[in-house]
Amino acid sequence: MASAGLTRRTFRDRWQAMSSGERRENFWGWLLASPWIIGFVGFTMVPMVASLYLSMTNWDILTSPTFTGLKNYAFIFTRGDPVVLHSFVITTYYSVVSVPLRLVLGLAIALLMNQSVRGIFVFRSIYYLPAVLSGVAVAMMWRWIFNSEFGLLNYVLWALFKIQGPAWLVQRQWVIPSLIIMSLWDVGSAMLIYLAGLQGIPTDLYEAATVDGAGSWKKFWKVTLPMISPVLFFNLVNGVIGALQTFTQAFILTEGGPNNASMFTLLYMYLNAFRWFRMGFASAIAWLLFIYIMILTAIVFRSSVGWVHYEGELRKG
Amino acid sequence: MAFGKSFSRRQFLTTAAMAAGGTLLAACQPKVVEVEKVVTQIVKEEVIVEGTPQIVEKIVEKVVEVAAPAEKAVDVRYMWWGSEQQRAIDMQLELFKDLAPNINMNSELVPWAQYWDKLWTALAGGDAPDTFWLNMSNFASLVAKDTLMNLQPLLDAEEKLKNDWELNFDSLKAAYKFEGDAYSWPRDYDTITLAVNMSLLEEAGLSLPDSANDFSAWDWVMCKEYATAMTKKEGDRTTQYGMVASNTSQTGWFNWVYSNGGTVLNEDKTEFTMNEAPAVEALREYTSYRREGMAPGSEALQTMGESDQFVTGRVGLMHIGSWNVGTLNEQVVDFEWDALPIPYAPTGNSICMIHGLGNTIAKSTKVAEAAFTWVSYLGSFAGSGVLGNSDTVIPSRADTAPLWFSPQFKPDNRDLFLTWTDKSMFYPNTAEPTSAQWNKFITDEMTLVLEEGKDVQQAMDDAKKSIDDVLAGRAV
Repeated sequence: MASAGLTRRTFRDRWQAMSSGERRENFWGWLLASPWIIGFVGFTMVPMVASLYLSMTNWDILTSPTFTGLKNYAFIFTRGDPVVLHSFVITTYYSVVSVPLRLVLGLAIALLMNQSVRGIFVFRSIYYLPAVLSGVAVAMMWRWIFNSEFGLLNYVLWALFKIQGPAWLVQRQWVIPSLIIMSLWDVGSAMLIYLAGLQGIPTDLYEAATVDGAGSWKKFWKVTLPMISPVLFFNLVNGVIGALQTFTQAFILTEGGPNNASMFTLLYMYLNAFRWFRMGFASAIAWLLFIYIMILTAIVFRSSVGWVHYEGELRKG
Repeated sequence: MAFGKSFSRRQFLTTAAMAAGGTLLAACQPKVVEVEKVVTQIVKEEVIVEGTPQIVEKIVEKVVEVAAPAEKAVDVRYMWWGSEQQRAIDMQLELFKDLAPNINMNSELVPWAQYWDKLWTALAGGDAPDTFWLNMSNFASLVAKDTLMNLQPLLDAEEKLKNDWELNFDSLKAAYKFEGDAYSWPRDYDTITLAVNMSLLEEAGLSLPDSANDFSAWDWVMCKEYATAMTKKEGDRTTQYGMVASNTSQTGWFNWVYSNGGTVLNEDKTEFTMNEAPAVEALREYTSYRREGMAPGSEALQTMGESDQFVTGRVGLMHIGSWNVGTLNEQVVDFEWDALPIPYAPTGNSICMIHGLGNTIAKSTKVAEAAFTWVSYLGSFAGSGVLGNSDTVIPSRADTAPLWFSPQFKPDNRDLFLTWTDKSMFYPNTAEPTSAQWNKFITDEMTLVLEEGKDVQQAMDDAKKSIDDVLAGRAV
């Protein structure tokens, strides 16, 4: 009962119980956080709640929404519009391949960039450079790289391996692999985080491992990986969320085509909302995507107990 | 469609003479007419050079009546797409400045790809432009949603305006009426032909088909022969294509479907009918160009758009809308080009799509009177004449449309765009659901036909299932 009494304490009670220093600290705390709080409430929470309501309506944005209950959701799950579930499959396929590839490639480059070589800062800058370019400009550049007739990729394939490259963005089976290849382009931002993690590993751990007779491979598995596992975890979570929200590349390069082969969920939501003005239906897709991302993120978090190690953490059990 | 036939030189001269007088009348648009002003106008005159009559343009100064400047200037927004018409819009704005100095026009060019997103969201958000372009496909939806200003009371209030409105082609006036009232002022219309590269034609040992009986010899068989002759290969690689058969409706397959007696929707627009035999036969013919390697696939079109392919002399025949004629005239420099009708189907018909757009006022505008002054100016002889004189789009008025067909503009067979207005079908559209909602299913299925060789009948049957659901409101 004591705890219930505690929660029932009013704001005024708590305010009065504070010392003047605490009050000042609280005041400034709230004041300085207020832009974000107002932003979150105004631009995230209210639209989210509104979209939850809208997902249960039929709304063309110009006339008043009409309440339809769970019809939009039922329509999706009864495959009334099969493209929605198809878009989840496409998005998952892309994420399952691109996220691990990005993790491995990012780490590999970070390991290279962690060497003490003369001019390493130049290399680091070069590898990070793509990450600062705008998504649309990059997409336009990749359109030319992927061009089947004059593109750089097919040229290289032919020049080096005598392989006639496919029509990357035009054929259904090649469009997602194309976008996955493209996703590796801006692996620099993940690399930077890995690099920070790698540089935070105390050298005495490596020295101890050397004394114990560990080779480079063993040091990598037993020292480096466990020590950067929180960074790996962070990149994994961000990577999964980012991949599930893929939009720009598909919007600019393929518009979901050919024949929905690159119809990512977010793109299909956008097309429904702003091309066909089915805002209620689009809101339902948004909520399904939100729930899907939440579930996958929860799985990743749950699994992290087994493989993420924090320095100084005591393992239970 | 009954627009009237192509016109003689005499008719053209009569029209040109009307231009001079018309500007005077047109200048009287604003309701308050108090001030006289000298403005510069371009008029056409016939002069005799070495015994041959020729038409020349002369710059003259005219005294016109204009509205007295109001105490406070009013800002009016005008949103449009189509950068190829920039010069015409600029000229209209410039002339309007003289006529209504108290109205500041803010021109907003929005690319086609973002136009409808922007317009709908602006209308929903209460920030719609005061005046804007609206095509027929979207008119039906937007007028039904009560977003457009009713122009009828203002039109009825003034005889001069009513006359201006009446001069628009009947079918265009009808297209912009809702429950008997006008909600958009027709601006222009467009028809479709095939552009032909005359150099490639000659290289292939061919000449333009006989123009007798409206090119009646120009049928599916002849078109295929021409495309075959103009296709060139080097080994496995096609270096020159005979025809462009892209995955588009208005400047593509719809024309072939209607020519062969097919339809897209049934009469009450409740069912998709492109899976019926005449339409399927037409689509088979259309897609055969791609299947038989005479038309570039999406790979080649991805490298270079169809218009660029034509301009750089890589294709022999290409569907072209009248709105692109001026651009082609500017860009084609290394060869001559001309126009041919959509080839006659075995039914003996050649039918092209006709579409158009109007100047519209948002219901939410706070400057209705000024907005209407602008829109009615655009619908006047002076405003509409700018479109015809600038080789941009065919004006919607019976007396200014002929300006677009002036012999001074290329190509030689330019009048086909007028002749075929009699043999045209309106672009099929629906108010609810919007046309865009069901059109995508046709495009999706046609992608499979063109890119992966899916059977046309199967593709259209599959499209029908989805589209009928959308039309019946069974789909969300």
